[in-house]
Formats: sequence, structure tokens, C-alpha cells
Amino acid sequence: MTLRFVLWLGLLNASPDALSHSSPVEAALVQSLEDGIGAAKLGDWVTYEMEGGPSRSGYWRIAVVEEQRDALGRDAYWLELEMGTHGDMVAPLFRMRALVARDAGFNGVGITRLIVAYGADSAHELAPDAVSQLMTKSRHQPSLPVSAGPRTQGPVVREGEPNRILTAMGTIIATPVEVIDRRVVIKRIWVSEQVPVLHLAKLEIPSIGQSMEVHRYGHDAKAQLPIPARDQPQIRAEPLQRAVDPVP
Amino acid sequence: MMGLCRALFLISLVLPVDLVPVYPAAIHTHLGDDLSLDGFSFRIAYFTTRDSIRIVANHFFQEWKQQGYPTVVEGDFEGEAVVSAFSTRTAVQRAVVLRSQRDKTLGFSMVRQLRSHFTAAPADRMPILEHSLWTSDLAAGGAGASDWQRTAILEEGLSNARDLARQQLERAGCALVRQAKDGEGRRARLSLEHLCAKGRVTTVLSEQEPGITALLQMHATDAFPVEASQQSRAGQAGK
Repeated sequence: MTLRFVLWLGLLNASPDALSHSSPVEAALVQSLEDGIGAAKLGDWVTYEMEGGPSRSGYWRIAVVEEQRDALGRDAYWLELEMGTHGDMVAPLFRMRALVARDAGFNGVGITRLIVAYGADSAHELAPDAVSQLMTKSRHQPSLPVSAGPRTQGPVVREGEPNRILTAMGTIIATPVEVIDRRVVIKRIWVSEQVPVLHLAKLEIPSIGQSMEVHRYGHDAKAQLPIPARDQPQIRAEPLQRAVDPVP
Repeated sequence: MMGLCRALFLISLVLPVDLVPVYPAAIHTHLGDDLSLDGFSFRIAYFTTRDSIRIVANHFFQEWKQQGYPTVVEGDFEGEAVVSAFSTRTAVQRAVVLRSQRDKTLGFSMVRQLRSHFTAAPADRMPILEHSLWTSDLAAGGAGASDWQRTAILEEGLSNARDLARQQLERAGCALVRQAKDGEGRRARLSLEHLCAKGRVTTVLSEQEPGITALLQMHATDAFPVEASQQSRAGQAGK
């Protein structure tokens, strides 16, 4: 079970085949987080607008809201993720707060505490064993189908010159990085030091018309999802097979 | 310190009047004060306007959508429509229920909390009776309200249900002052009246079918302090 499953579970109303329905741009966002955001500073935040076709638009906000050491004594920060239907995020549909070790990234190794809130529900923390259980295999990637035809060359990564691009935040200087497979641009990423947290200004997947673009960013993020009291019930996880076993 | 925390908690549960949705140029009449249904506070008001349901619904839909709230609409927009917006951070729902009334639109504006303010072990709430199949509490006057009404279905016969209700109230320090029975057999209804520290509790029990009894319990704050009332009764008895 991957981190993506946790995110898509909240996003897609707990659909069991959520992973297969997640959009490529959302998957790219999660992958960026999994790769680590060690350079992010306290207070950094960024909101992205996702354009994934009809009824697949939305906004994601990522913010570094607090710094502290985790249970393993590592330098860590509280990272908040919110997903909503409006860029101002006055009423997000899903909220998550994770304690992430700075050098390890948003993955099974780095996360030691995880708090989630769905809709208007109050925040609940995952039990420690549930966190490790859900995140252990977060770096697992689904295998790609093997091409039957002959291939002369794999995908090529091409970096362009820094350029000005127009976003909802105005003009941003960003460097395009393209992934090209047999003359087709699979993915185009615009990297910019101006954009905090992920340094990602824009991501495009031209062939399917999906994109993710910075909507707002800043450096004054405050924690918005409260940490539940220690005596509050925690969310526990168990293998699906055990959960559906018939009662003897 | 605990008292201060509790007072602040209760204050935070009172929904501000200005959260009740308002349709421009319409007079809104508030119904009741702060109401509470099963621990969920809400406020409600109504208004009428000559604008069509479609225009009124569209006004609220656009306003809440622009403010960034997840907003849903339901209905046929001819005879009725409902528009709701959800504030997930504050756990508050605002809604208007619209009905066509001759050549006017009648609207009910509502704001309610989406999280119950009943805690697991409330100090000032009557405990739920044993063998309850279903219980619903309605309170008026805000989160600290002492006027409340309880409806419950008990999996007990009439006399057992009466004993349970009496034990519950006596454990809460209430004294039985009156008991009456109306009707016989399946039509039998038992009424109990208890005097409690904060007022008077009236309980009405009626067996709906063998082993299933309906309970209606109302708590009303006395206009006069209980002690004064008791002294008055004692004085009258002495005469």
C-alpha cells in the first residue's frame, strides 16, 4: 500500500481502485513530495491548480507549518496538505498533516506521525503502527507494461533555457524540463527557484491535456489542522483480508 | 480554570446570528433562539420574496461558490430547491430551503454546526436510558441550555420503562412530585413529574407494542427558583 493510496483514498471518496483513477498530474505531485523537500523553510506554502479535464479540476495546498524533532531524534517539520475546489482554500475537502524528517522525504522512512481530516470531520491521528503499515512500501512503483515492439531509444530528458511563463501569480522565470519519447513530449515541467516548497511552477502532460500550475504561494503559513489530544481515538489499519474475514 | 475553559467552550458553540443566510431586501424572521438537535446547534429564520425560486437559489449558489465554499443545489427549481454550503474548517453548514407559495417564494435560512457539542460524558445532560433503541435530544437556548426535550424508544414494557425513567431521574437528584395514568391496556399513558435542581422534568410514557415503549421527556426551567417553590409548597401544606 502506498502513500498515494492514502491520498487518493481521501480524494476519491475511498474508492478501492482509487490508484488506477488518480490523474497523472496528481501522481506527479505526490512523486515530487516523495522525493523530498529538504530545502523548504518554515512558513513556505504553495497552492497548485490542477486541470485534469471535466470534473477533475481542483486545488492542492502544501505548507511547512512547524519544526520539531521526531520520535527518532531527527530534524523534522510538520507538513500540511489540503485539497479543495477553490484556490483560496476556505473550505478544503481533505486535510492532512504529517511529521516528516527533513532529510528523508514524504515517504515511509520520513513520516512518523500522520493526521487526517475528511470534510467537516474533526482531525484524527493515525496510530503509529498504522502509519508504518501504510507508508512502508510508499516507494513501490507500479510496473510499466512492456512494449511489444522494437525500441531503438528510451525516453530522453531535455532541459531548456530559463524563460518567462505566465501564471496566476504573474510572470515567473522558470526552466523547462521535457521528457520526450520518440519525438512526443510526454511531460513538461517548469522548475523555478521562486516557487517555494517544491520549486515547481508548472507541469504539463500535453498529450492528454492535463496540467498543474502554481496558483498562489507565500512564506507565512500557519498550522491550520490541530493536532488531536493524546486521548482522542486514533485511526487503525489492518490488512484488508483480516477486515473482511467472516465472523466465526 | 476548568470553569473558564468550559465557559469559553460553550461560548464558542453559540452560532452567530450573522451566519444565518440573508436574501437581499427581504425581511427575515428568526424562529426560536439558539436551537440544539442531538447536540448540533442551529439557527433558523424565514423570509418571503416575489423573486422566483430559480433567482433566489442562484443568488445563494453564486455567492457561496465565489466565497470558495463547496456548494450543492437540489430540487426542481419550480416547486422547491435547496442550496447548501459547507465550511469544513469551522464545521458549519449554511443552507436555504425554498418553496413556491402561490406567487411568492418562501425561504427558510438555516445555519447549523456539523459537529455535536455533546461530549462523551456530559455533566449537565441526562444520561441516555438503558435499553434505548433510539434517542433524540432537542434543546433551546444555546449550548448551555437547560430547557430540552428528549424523544426515545425503549425496548421495555410500560412499567419497566417507568421504573427506568424514575431511577434515572432520582439518580440525578430529582424528586417525584406527581404521577398519573390515563387510559387502559394498549391506550395506557403514564405521566411523571419530577422537580430537579434546575427545573421541572415531565415524562410521558406510552407502550407502542408489547415490549416497546415511547418516551417523551421535557425539561423546563422554573420561573421561580426550586428552593423558593419548595418552601412555598411546604408553606401551603402547613396551612
